[in-house]
Amino acid sequence: MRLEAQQLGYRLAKDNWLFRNIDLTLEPGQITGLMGPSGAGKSTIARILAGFIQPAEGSAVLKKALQHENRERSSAIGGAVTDKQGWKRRRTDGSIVRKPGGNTVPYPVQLIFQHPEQAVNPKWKLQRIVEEGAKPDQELLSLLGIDPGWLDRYPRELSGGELQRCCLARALACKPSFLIADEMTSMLDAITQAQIWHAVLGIAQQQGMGLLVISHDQPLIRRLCDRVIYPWETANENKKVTVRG
Amino acid sequence: MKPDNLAMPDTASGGKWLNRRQRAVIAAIASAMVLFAVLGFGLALPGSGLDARLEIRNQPPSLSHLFGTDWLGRDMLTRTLKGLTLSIFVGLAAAASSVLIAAIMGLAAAMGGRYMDHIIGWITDLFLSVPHLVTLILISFILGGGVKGVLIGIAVTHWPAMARMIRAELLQLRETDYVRLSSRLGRSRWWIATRHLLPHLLPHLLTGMLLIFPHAILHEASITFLGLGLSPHQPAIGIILSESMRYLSTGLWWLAFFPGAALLLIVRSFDRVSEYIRLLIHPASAQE
Amino acid sequence: MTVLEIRNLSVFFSRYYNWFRKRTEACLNGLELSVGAGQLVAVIGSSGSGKSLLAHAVMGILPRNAGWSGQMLYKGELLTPQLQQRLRGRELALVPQSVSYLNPLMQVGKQVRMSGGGVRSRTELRSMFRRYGLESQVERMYPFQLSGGMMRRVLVSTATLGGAELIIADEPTSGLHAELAQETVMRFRELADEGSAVLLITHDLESVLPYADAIAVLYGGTSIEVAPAHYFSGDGTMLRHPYSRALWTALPRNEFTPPKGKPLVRPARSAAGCPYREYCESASEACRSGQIPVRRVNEGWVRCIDAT
Repeated sequence: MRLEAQQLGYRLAKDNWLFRNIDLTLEPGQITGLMGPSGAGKSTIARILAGFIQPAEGSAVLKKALQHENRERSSAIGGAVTDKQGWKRRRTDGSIVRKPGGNTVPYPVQLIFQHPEQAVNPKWKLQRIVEEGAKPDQELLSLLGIDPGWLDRYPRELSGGELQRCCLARALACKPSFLIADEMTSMLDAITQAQIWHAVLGIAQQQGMGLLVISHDQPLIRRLCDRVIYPWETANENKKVTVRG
Repeated sequence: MKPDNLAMPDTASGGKWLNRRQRAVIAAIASAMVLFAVLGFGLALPGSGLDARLEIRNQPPSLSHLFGTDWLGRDMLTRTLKGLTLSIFVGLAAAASSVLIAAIMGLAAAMGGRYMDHIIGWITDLFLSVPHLVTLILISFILGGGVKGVLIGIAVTHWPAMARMIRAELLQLRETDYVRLSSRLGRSRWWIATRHLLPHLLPHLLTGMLLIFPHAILHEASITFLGLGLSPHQPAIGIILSESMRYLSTGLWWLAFFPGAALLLIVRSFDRVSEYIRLLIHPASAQE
Repeated sequence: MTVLEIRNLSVFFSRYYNWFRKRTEACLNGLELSVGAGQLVAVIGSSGSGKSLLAHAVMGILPRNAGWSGQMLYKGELLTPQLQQRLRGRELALVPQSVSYLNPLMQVGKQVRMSGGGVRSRTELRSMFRRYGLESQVERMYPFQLSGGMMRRVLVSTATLGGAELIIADEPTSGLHAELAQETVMRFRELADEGSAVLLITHDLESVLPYADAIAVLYGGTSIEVAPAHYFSGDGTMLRHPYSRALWTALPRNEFTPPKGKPLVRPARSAAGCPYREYCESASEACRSGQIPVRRVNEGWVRCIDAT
């Protein structure tokens, strides 16, 4: 599966564009870094790709190669296109991905936020939070360094690093094809950051998952990513995506 | 060497005997006991105290008639308790229906799209722009007074402020990362509404009801006092108070004093409990 | 001259641990720190290490269910709640973490001028804004209209307009991209060079390192090491505490490897012993009990038994 975004644009008001003409492609199993000036809309791109909000123009599409038909079939992240497995968008505002039977399934692009405290329901215990999408197996929990004792607690009793691990477990339990990490570790100290990234890289490799790393930390991006994209520069120059590293 | 500086607010070091949660629970239990005592006695007392016995009329409080008797010789204690029981029922029913209307309106405004929001916002403003009492009088007058008129009047006038709060709360909640994420994890709207949104609203609904309850009782009493509420044959607090006004100047102070004090006690105790609950669920003051 | 000296500072909270009982929990434990005039000291710590509490304790703005013990000396004078109240916003300034500390309904210029009680003249504000590259129209903007970078500059100017002698900045660089973070820290360096004492609280070692005089490492609610900034270089062998060394090697620009052994790092919460003992390779029985003594080494100090 490939995630392709073409000519994305998003505006805050009628003639107030946050960005326009953004192109980017995510390949499975590849770790891509996204860099851009602060305030340029990195988080907005992350939210569009994960289907949280709709772009004002352009499209984000999941492309799946169908061997037997020898062509590609795409399922739009916005729009009502059915793909091979029968994922169907009920509404264009992107609220639900449905299977034909009416059961809902987790979305294949998952997003990890910068502030884990805001990404969990403060009234739920972590057991319930972690299992919201699908039940994570023991191996995943131990890979992420999650102590079973945490699952019996409320979010306010855990530190930011511990909560972020739980958010990762929740997202990864859904076996997404792509994981978008929006400043995932920028609120954490260096040791926790290194631990979390080592775990995530291992899981990504093992599952052939594509990763989009959004960060302002250049050394981190250089460490982690197979390639780094600067979509704003290319949007301005209207050229193809620069590939570095 | 100077002594170590130790600054500790009294709430933390135990400067008060009990912490706020303990006080809240005690207040809640006390109010509940008062409420049940009134309801229990009100229902259990024989109706004979309400019969006119002219030979013992206008008696000041005594052991046989703790609250005295009125100008027809009716026992004021029985009248007060029966009246309070009716008032509490009316208050509870009105507060509950008010909260229900508020919840439905707030939910519809927050979840039902832009037009729904506009329409409900307009209705809310309409109700808020007229003073409670005026709308209430109008409604009970149209419905011809009685328990039904008062009940519907109170229920219909008290929801707007709360509906607004619920709408704002839901709009904010809907935009939080964890609610938005939930649909990405494959959860349906209904699932999100019942698991994420509703549990969050429940404490608000409960406090809302406790806050409306004393209002409802007071409004019931006041429109009955004005003669637009319950009929004079029913032993309602409002009736008792309005009738006894006429006898105050003749020195029959107990006719108004005891029923008034009893009403105040019920209203204050509920006010206090709801205030505690409000402080406890508010994050800024929850740990104090 | 030492502007702020903190000796054995503990901060505790009383919280409900079940429905009815309250318990007092220590969040900072025996913290030691000092900042001199013209110095920029960075306080580094992981999330939940009590960094912000340190700032709030010095400013005297802890929440109502918190208390503290120990000594805080401002220019040799004991910091009492009364003194804090008097100095706050004038000689003591806090640069808060986010715009949520600004009044959303008030124009930015007005807020900055009114910060710390006294009202400053418009010309003073204008020159301050010019210095931080803020155009004059920013004065009339509301907080929500500011971009991340502008907001940060406004917050810095709030604290500096009064000519504060002690400036405490709480996570001034979080969420900023590298250049902006650098610019922000540089502002604080300038303020230090002008004679203020600056305490910079952050989890981001990398962005403060080039500008700081000394680094104080916080872990598990206590300061475990204070070292000159240049100790954080090479392979980090100049650092004395194993946690500081682990922090240094875990940086993306160094090895990017977490310490071996247990996969997670949650400090031991008890007041006794070293908070890092569970993860330390050379931990011994002596690390488990008592208060680990502070040991002076060359230009800093460390709280570790093994330190030489």
